[in-house]
Amino acid sequence: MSKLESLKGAAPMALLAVALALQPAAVQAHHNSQAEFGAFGSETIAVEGTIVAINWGNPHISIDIRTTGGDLPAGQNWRLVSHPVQIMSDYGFVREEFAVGDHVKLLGWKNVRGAPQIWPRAIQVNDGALKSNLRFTDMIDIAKGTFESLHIQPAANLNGSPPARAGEETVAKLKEMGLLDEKGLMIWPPR
Amino acid sequence: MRQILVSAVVAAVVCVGLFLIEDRFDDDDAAATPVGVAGSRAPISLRYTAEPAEDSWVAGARGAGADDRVLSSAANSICFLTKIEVKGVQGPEDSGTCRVAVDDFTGFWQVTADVPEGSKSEIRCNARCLVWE
Repeated sequence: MSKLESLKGAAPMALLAVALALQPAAVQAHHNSQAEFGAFGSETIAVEGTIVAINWGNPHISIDIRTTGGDLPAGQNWRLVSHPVQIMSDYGFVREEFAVGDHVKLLGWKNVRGAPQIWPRAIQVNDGALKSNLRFTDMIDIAKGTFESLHIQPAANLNGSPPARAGEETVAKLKEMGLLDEKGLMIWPPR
Repeated sequence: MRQILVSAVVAAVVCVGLFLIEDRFDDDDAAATPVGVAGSRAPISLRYTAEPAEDSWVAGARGAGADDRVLSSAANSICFLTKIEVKGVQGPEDSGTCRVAVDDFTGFWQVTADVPEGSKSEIRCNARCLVWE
C-alpha cells in the first residue's frame, strides 16, 4: 500500500478522533486513588523489588522499583504512586528512609486499567517495619479483625482520624468495638 | 476556537500515527511475502481506550508540581490529548503544560499536567489512546 493510500485510509479514523476529542470529559474528580486502584478494602498483592528512582514531590510522590519477587514476575518495572509529601509525612514516612538500591516489600493495589503502577497499602524498606500507607484500610482491617495478623505498623495519624472514608459498615463496627471517641474519631491503640 | 485547534492537532497526530503503523506493517509484509505472491495480511484490530477516570491535574495555588496518569503500552498504541483546561491565569507567570509522552521506565504513554514554581494556574489534562492488536 502506498503512503498516500495509507493517509487516505487514516482519514476516517482521524475524523473519529476529532469527534472523540470534542466530547466533554465525563468525570472531573479530585485526586482519588480508588478510581485508579480500586476500593480501600479490596484484595492486595505482595510485591518485592529494588528501588531504582524516587520522586518525592507534589502533587504525589512516586517510587520506581524493579521487581524481584512476590506476586509479580521478577525483572519488571513498576511505579509506586502515593500521597502528596505532607500526607506521606503525616503517615510517618520521610524521604530519607528511601534510597536507590534499597529493597522494598509491600502490599498494594495494582492499577485497575492495567498500567504498571501500584498504590502501596503498606511498605517495608530493607529490614524496617512494614508501615501502613493508608489509614482507612487500617480501619477496615481492624474492624474485620485481620489487622494484627498482617503485622503492619499502623499509620502514624490513625489515632484521631475521622473514619467516614472507611465506609459506614466499618464505622459502625469500630463504634461497636469502642474504638471511636465522643467526636467519632478513631482511638488507636485501644484504651 | 481552542477546541478546533485541539481537534486539528488530534487529527494530525492520528493521521501520522496510522501512517506509521501502516508503514511498519508494510515492512513486515515485504520481508515475509515473496514478490508476486498474494500476501494474506492478518486484520489489525484497532480500538480506543477510555480516558482515565480522573484527569491529570495540578492546582498551582496549592503548589507547583507534575501529575501524571499512565495510559497504555507504547508498544502497540499511540495516545493523544483530549482535554486541556486552564484556570486561574492572572498574568504571564501563570503558565502550565499538558503533555502526552512515553515514559521510558514503564514503556507506557502517560499524560502529564505540569505547573511550574511561581504559577498560580490550574491545569487539567486527559488523553485517550488508539491501540492496535
